Order: sequence, then structure tokens, then C-alpha cells
Amino acid sequence: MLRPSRTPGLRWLWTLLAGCLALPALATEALLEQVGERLQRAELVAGEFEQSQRVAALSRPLVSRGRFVFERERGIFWQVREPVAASLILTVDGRVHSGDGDGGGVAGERALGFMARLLNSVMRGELETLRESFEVTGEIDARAWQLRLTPSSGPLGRVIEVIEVSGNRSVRQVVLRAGDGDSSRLNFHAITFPAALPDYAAALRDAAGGR
Amino acid sequence: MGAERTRFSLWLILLLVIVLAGGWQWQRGVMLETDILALLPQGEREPLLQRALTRSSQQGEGLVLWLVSGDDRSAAIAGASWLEQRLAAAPELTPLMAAEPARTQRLAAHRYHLLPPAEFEQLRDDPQAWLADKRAALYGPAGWQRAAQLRQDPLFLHGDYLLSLVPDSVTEDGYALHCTEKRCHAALVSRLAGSNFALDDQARLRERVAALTTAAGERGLEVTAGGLPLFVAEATARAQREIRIVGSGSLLGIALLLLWSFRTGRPLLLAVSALATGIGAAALVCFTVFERVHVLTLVFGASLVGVAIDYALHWLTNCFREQGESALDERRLLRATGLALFTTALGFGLLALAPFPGLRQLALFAVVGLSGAWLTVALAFPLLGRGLAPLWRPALAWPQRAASAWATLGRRHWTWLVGAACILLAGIARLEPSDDLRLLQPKSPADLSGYARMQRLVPMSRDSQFFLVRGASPGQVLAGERRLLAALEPQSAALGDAMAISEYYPAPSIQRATREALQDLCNRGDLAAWLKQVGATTDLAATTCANIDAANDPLALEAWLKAVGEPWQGLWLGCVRGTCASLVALSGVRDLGALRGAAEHLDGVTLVDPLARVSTVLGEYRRNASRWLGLALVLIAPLLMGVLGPGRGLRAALVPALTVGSVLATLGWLGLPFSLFNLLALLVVGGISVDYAIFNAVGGRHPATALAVVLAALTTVLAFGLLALSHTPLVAAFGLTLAWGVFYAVLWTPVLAGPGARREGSVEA
Repeated sequence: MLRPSRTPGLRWLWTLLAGCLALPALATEALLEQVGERLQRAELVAGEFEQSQRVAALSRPLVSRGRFVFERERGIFWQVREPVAASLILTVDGRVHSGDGDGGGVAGERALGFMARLLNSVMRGELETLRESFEVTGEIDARAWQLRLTPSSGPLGRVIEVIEVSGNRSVRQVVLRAGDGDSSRLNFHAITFPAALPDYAAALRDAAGGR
Repeated sequence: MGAERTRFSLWLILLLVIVLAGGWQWQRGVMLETDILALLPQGEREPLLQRALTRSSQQGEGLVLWLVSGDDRSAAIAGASWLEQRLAAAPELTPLMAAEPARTQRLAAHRYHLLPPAEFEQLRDDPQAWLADKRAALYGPAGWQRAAQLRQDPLFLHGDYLLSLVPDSVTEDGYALHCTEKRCHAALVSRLAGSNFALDDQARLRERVAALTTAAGERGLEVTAGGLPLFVAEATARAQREIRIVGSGSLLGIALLLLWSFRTGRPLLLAVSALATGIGAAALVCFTVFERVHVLTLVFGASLVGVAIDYALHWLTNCFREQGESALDERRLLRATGLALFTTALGFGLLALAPFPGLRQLALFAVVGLSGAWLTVALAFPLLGRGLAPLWRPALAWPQRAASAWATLGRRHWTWLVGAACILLAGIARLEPSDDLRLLQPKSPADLSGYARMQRLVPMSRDSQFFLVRGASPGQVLAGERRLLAALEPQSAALGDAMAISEYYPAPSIQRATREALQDLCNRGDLAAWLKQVGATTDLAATTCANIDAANDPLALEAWLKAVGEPWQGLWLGCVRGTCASLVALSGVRDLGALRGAAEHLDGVTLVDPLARVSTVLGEYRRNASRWLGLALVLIAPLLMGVLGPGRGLRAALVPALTVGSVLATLGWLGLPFSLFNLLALLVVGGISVDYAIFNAVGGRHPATALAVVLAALTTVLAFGLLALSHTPLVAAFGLTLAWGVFYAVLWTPVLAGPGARREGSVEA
């Protein structure tokens, strides 16, 4: 804490210093506000994704493609169509339901829960919550915004080095870089804002028991 | 003079024996039994069932649940992590977590044997689909984390198996999390390092809970703690407070009363010495004869003070009689008190015939205690109390006059006696016996509902009911479990969840089949193809297949239990004399009857309900003790008639019967439940009323008699009637019954057992 200056004349200097120290935090807040304003708030966001995961153990990247529907209240319906067929529901509070109805190892995985929360936070535009686990920096201009999330806590920081999120009216790309050089790149395209839940998503929801 | 000295030395010898033997016994170790199930007859306790009951109560007993609440998920998790650190630093609590990494290494070594049951079935029936699912997981949003494990565990066998051991509600941070609209709650479980019933541990636990809750509040977190150890600690603290207040209050009251009545300190000392001798002798004999003495016996024994003090008081009030005329000589005094002792001891002694170890202990304690007190009065009082002359004469007239008026009234208008009898019978008919266990717990409904809510959130907390599955070998036990689980499948309305070892531990035959199936995958080249498809390097397939071939024997149950630890380790009960058994834990039980029915036709499967068992024990004791009480009341009659003469004897014998009947009728009319503890108090009441009746019959119409009765009544009420104010229903019931018993005894005694007007000359004070 800065002590108020005895000399009234120097007070403006202290205020300026205090202001400078607070600038980064203010800057982040302002940035997140602006990004939040830029993101279109819609009940439903649908689109397609392409995911490319580069892992040291594999000679080629794992590439999957599919489509998704983001529903503000429930979460994200995630359907992988290439090269395998798999469906998931990533809920807002981080639970993952397998769309095939059988639980199994897929649904209980911890990393999936983390991704579910991350994607949901970003798509909902609840960017403030990101600041609880990450240090956020980034830029915004007329055409696009980019955020860089650096984990602030120990356990997460051991696994992830940085997460880069970018987009404009909606989220376009999420890149996860792990500490050991692995990376996962998610690209979203063909974004639309439907009025009602597309059929495949509705079917997924029903198969998972309406949860 | 000489005779008195002889008797006194006899008493001193007795005292010496008690002190020495007591010291020797104390050195050997004094063992107290607190388990209420130990009161059951021995035949019922087969070893595996007993182990199951102990294990089950231990599981629930020692668990302390912590709930950290926050506005959202991250707040709850951050709070939980803070609490975890603080708990780790608390020596009286040990954390209860899922399997620790060091132990699960053993599981990793057997990864080619261990698969979750659903996966095994898929691997066996449709290996291609199994492989496809494994591959699909790689392409999910978090596939990069799986892919990172490819080197060590290409098919994620170890990882997925570990995941199957973790309940759904546990998050990646390791906490059970439950979020509602507004709040998120994270649950932690820790176990009390000591025992629930050790007083030091309880005090430390309460301090720790208070400290943590305050510290959390300062950080803006809400932490609630619940669990049986806390209830017990609270209940004990409250009981201790009450005992201190009531005990010191009553001791003070009794001391003041005796001092006021006699104006010297000697009577008080004499009375105390009689009581101490009696209780000391009783405790000594009980601990010598029985291996472990139940706490209930000691508590009951302490209440006998109310009866034992009557002998001393009768002797002491004798000093208010004028020497010569109506003074009772030693012989008559001893005869009166001896008769009182005999009848009371007979009543309690009959309890020894019951097949229940608890009642036998009570009987022995009562008989020895009362005899010890009486012996002190007979042997030591003559010398120690010699020359005890009253320094003043209290207003003896009023109790005597009141008693006479009341007695005459009663005898003249005997019709109303008949009416009173009818009211009595009607009241008794309305009695509702109750063996509810809640008598043992203090009233705090808020705690219980909060605890129930917490229990639902925590994956490892269970209901007290469970299934016991028996078999000739571990394999048979596990097979029995599987049959039970299949039978419970359709019972989703009656049961929330069941947890059994067989759900997590694959049988050795299945483990071998798993490895063979994996070997098939290798031999057919499916594994190599899968890895190629995913993009892994080719040597990985060769290495993995070599590892599968080299895999050892299946993991035995014992080794698996050591690796996974709690809570599965607690479910296995081991093998005793050719029978092995395990527990199937239940949570969210809603309909016990349906569960019992579902498992009825299964061999070797029993539904065990510990709470109901305790209620059954209490109920059986109550019925048994009631019979003996009734028998004793009847047997007293011929005895008293023989000693006091037919008319007086019969009337005297009616006093205890009517007193007990009046108390029962009062309970009935007030709609209060009638439990074992009321009955135990009634036993004491019976003894007290017999004493009063005999004093009155033998003592003649002298004010000292009335004084003796009044003093005896007041001391008893002071000693134990105050217990009626306790918060613990059990203790309150005991005290209330005793207080009423004394009141009715004082009421009925003059009416029935007063001396006949024609027989003795009336002596006015």
C-alpha cells in the first residue's frame, strides 16, 4: 500500500505511480470487457470444428473433424465425424456425458472436464472466470481479438504452458500448448446462430437422458 | 461396647480387603465395555457377522465429513484445497483419499489383467469395437492428454482402470463436487485418528472443528463439519456438563440437607462411608467376576446410591428417638434394614437369572453394593455413630401429622382407593413401549438433516445397513456378490447405490481371460494395426506385445486390496474357519423391506441392520426385565407377610406394587414412551418403596420414622431426580421415572404401611 504523500504537490505523482501499477490489471479488465462485448451473445451457436493434436509419441498429428452446437444453458454438444464417430456433451460445470449412453473411461476423464469448462467459459463469454485460474493478456482490434492464458496455479501449470484463444464475433481458434512441446489446435468455422437446436444435437441430448 | 468394637474391626477388615483387592484389580487393568451389542446373549454373535458389524460401525463411526461451500465451483475447490492443507497438519485427523500413487504402482504392473467389467465384456465379445472406442477417445477434445500417455500405456489400460475406481462426482482436483443453482459444495472426508469414545480425542476434535470453521470464516469460506464422531463428542460434552451441574448440585443439596437435619457433620461422613463401601465393593466384585463391565452397569449402579442411603438414614434418624421408650434397639433396627435389604436384593437378584449378560452384571452390582452399604451400617455405625445425639429437634411434628392425616383419610374412604386402582389400570393399558434408538442420542434434528445432505454428496459415505455375503472361498463370495448385485438391479426405487468388491476386482479367471484376449489382439496383428492407424511408431507394438506375453499371474484379492486401500479394503472381512465373507455397502436406502425380499432366495446373503439390532436388544431386555420386576413384586408379598404378620405384611407388599403401577400409569396418561431405561428406574423405585414401607411398618408411629422417609426421599430426588432436566432423552427418562417413583412411594407408604392404630400406642412428639 502506498502512503499518502505529505506534500500535496507530490500527491499527483503517487497517484500516477499507483495508477501505473494498476494499469496491467485494469488493462486486462478492459480487454476482457471489450472482448466480451465483441462476442455475440446468442442462445445457440452451431458450427464445425477441426482439431489437430501434435504429440511427440506420434509421427503424425491426430486430426479430427466434426460439428458442434453450443447451448448457453446446457453446454456444448460435440460430435466427432472424422476419422471416428463419437459424441460428447461438455456441460457448463465441467461434467462430460458420453453421447452413446455408456459411461466408461471417456466420460470420467479429468482433462476432458477441464476442456469442457474452458470451452464453455470462452463461448459463453464469461471471461472473468478465466482470471481465477489464468493470467490473461492479449489484444483486440477492429477485426479480431486474441487472448493468451497462462496458468497461475501449480498443478495446471505443470501440464499446460499457455492457451491462446482468438476470434471475433465468435470464438475461432483455441490453441493449447503443453509444457513438453505437445500442442492441440482447435479451429471453429462455418459458425451460425440457429434458432432451434439442430436435430443431431437434440438426439444426443435425448440419448444422454435429457441431462 | 466390646461388641461394637468387634464389629467395627470386622468392618475395617472388610474395607481393607476392598481397597487392596481394588488396587490389585486396577493394576491388572480395568476394562469397560461401551458397545451396546455386547449386551446381547453370547450365542448370537458369530465371528464373521461380528467382524462385519464392527467394521461397518468403524467405517461410519470414525468418519468426519467436511463440506466447503462457495458461490461457484472455483471458490469451492480453492476452499477445499485450503482446508485439505489445514487438515493435513491436524494430528487427530487422517485424510481419507482414493488410492495413493505409490500403492497403485502395483496395479500398473498388472495392467494387462485388470479391466473394468464393462470393458472386459466388450473386449471379449467385440475387440474391434473396443479398439475403436480407445481410438475414439484420442480424438476427443482432450485427446492430447491421452496421446501423451501412449508411450507407457498404449491402450490406456492402467489409466482407464484407475478412472473406473474413482466415483463420478470426484473432480480432477480430487474433490467430490456438487453444484446447485447458487452454491457449489466440495466435500472432503477425514477419519478420526483416535476412538470415538475416548474423551481426550473428542475434546481435541471439537477444538479442531471450531478452529477450522473460524479460520475459514475469516477467509470468507463456509465450512461445515458433520459425522458421528462430532455427534458423540457433542453429546458427551453436554452429558459431562450436565453431570457436573447435576452431580455437584445434588451432592451439595444432600450435604446441606443432612447438615441441616442433624446439625453436625458426622452423619454426613457416616452416610458417605456407607455409600463408598457399597459402591466400591460392588465395582470390585463386578470387575473381578466379569471380564469387561458394561458402562450401563456402572451408571445404573451409581443410581443405587438412592436406595443404599436409606439404610444409613434409617439408622441415623434413630437418634431422634428418646432413649428408652420408643427407641429402636439395635436388633430391631438391623432387622428392619436387613429385611429391606433382603427384599430389594431379591428383586435385583432375580435379574441374574436372565440370559442377558448386561442384566446379570446389574444384578451382581446391585446385590453387592446394597449389601456393602448395609454391612457398613451394621458393623461400623454402632461404634462410629456412638453418642450421636441430636443437637436440636427439628419440627418433626409436621411430617408425622401430615402422614397420619393422610393415612387415616386413606383408610376411611377406601372406595376412592378402588377408583384410584381403576385409573391406574387404565393408565397402564395406555402404555406404549418404545425401543427407539434415538433415546441414546441427544436431540439435535438440525445436525442430522445437514449430515444427511452431506452424506449424499460424498461418494464414500454409506448407510448403516449392509449385506453380508458368505461363501466357502473368496471366489464363491465374489460370485455371491455378483448374484446379489444382479438381484438388486431392478430395485432402483428402494436403493440408491450399492458398492461391492466384485464390481471393481476382476476374478482371477477373468484376469487370465483378459490377458489372453490382449494376446489375441497382438497375435492377430490388430494392436499393430491400431497403433499404425493412430500414427505411433512401429516398435511400440512389439514392445507392448512382449510385455503382455511376459505378464505374470493374475493379481490375488489380498494384493489388490492392499494396492487400492480404502474403501474396498474395509469391505473384505477375511476368512474364519472355512467361511469367507464380504460386505456390500449400501447408500441411499429407502425401502429395507424390498431389499430384504430381493435377496431372500440367495444363498449366503443376509441383510444386516445394526440399528434395528440395537433396538431389538433394547426391546428384549425391556421385556425380560419387566417379567422379573413383576415376579419380584409378587414374591415380596409372602416374605413380608412372614416377617411382619399377614395384615401388615400384605399392606406393606402393596406399596411397591402400587408405586410402580402409579408411575406406569402416569407414563401412560401422559403419552410418554416406555423404554428399557424407564424400566431400570422402576427397579430402583421398587427397592426404594419397599424400604419406605418396611421403615414405616417397623418404625412405629414416631416422627423419626416420617423424618427418615422424608430425608430418604429428598436425598434420592436430589441425587437423581434432577437428571430429569437432562437433554439426553435416556437420562431424562431415567430421572423422571425415579422422581415420580419417589413421590408415589411417599404417597402410598403412610396409607398402606403405617402401623395399625390399635397395635401400638401412639406417641406424639
